[in-house]
Amino acid sequence: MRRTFALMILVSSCMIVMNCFRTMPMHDPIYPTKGADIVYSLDVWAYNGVANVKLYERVYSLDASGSISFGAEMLIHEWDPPGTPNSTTLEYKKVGGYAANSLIRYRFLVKDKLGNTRSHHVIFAIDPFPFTAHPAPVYVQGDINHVFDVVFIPDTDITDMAVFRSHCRSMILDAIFAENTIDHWWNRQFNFFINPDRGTATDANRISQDGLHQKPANWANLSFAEVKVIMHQNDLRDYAYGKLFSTEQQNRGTMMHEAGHAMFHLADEYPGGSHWQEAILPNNWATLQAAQADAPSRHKTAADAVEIGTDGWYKICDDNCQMKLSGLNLSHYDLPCGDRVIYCIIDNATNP
Amino acid sequence: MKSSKIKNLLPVLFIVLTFLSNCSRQIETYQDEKQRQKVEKTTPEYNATYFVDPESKHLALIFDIVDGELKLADGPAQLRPGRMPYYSTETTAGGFLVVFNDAAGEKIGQYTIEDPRFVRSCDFDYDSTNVVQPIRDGSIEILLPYDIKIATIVIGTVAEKPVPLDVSKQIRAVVKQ
Repeated sequence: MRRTFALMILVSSCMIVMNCFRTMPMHDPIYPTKGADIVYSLDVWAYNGVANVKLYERVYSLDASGSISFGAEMLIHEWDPPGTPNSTTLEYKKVGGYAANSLIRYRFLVKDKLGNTRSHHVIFAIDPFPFTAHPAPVYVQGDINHVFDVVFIPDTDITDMAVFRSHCRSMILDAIFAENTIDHWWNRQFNFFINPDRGTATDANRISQDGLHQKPANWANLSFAEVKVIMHQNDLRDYAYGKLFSTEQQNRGTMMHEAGHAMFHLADEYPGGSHWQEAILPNNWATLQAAQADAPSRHKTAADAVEIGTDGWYKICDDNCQMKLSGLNLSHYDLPCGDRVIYCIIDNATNP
Repeated sequence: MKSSKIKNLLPVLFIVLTFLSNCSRQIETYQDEKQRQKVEKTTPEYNATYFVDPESKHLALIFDIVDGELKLADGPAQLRPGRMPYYSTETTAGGFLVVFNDAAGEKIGQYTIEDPRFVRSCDFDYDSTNVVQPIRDGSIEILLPYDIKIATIVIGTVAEKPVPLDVSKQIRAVVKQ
């Protein structure tokens, strides 16, 4: 009797999340030229096991006047993973790619053992992209007003655009989508673009000689984006100026630190940085008492509240939080910063 | 209570605790999943003609920085494609506030940004001094929604107690274009 009861409640607790998936679609190269082979991949997790996956494509033809014609959605591949694993990675190579002036919409449809489904699509442009004054969408998923938009701007010092584009892909996959808070869960709330015009980053220690960052010629057309980042190959002391920041193209840590400011309004957690206290889910506090009072509702204890150097501002995140660190390697937002990240993702989507 | 009864109860207790812990995790995941579904449902699909949509636009006011002081540029505001990016609309302690009002002084909206009069370097590989530096000479932009009712703006930190600045000429000029 007791065994039966225990079994029943355990089974029922499992059924609560019967429709639960995590999906991470990707394509390579991120901004393919016309006719180039493209590898589509899907990293998928399903609570009830992955039973079947279908890959569809739809081709949009564009012209410079802004007119678009839509092709029909076509099934291009299907998988039945043996043993219905909980997680798997699937790949499909599209040989011969697509024509110039196209936008490609690909969609993975995942079905679990119980017949629940999740659909996840991505749109990307084929190079050349006809709207030459605007950034090319290289991984877009949602309406610009409802998601976070990131524009990668090549620096004038970039000598190999293929390497630059490869770093753009890594910034998506190994920086933003590798952040624990975002990962496979909130990854649909981001769009990424590559700018056709270049900018020139200057060194923070040489602003008086070299001036501020030189914006790309089409700067006015990038105003919509939360993140505008000049990615360069020379070593510089990077800085942010207005809504523009710079980073070495391989620096995932700098990308996520600055993205924390630009998208989620997270303040610095290192001494001498830029501090303020957001009204909702802050990561800096103006007083120790306020930080201690908030800590228990933010995954921490009052003992975690400490002053940031001698700045007169306080934090509760640990010292590995991305808002304390930058540079080559990715760290992660600690849980209090993670609260704010999720709040902003939801607020942006629901109050555009 | 006899020790044999306690022994009998231990497996039941273990099952109950395991269940409660499992249940709590499942409910959390379930709530996250529901929240995600709601957000994804609220987010329309990417619109490839977004930038050519005449209804989708915003304004940029240009300020020159001369010897560290902000001066509103004489020219018209700039018309920009697309809507303004996502900003925090909260009044933050220590943040730089942008408030936009109509001709009667009624607030239309507000947002906060990092103080645009400064550059900020969080790159410690090279140097950790002068993280925040004032801009001596240059220009900055303040974005506004496309709303022809905007007549004045108030920009600055709360502590500075900034006063309203008349921008109606710049807004009218862009509307005429």
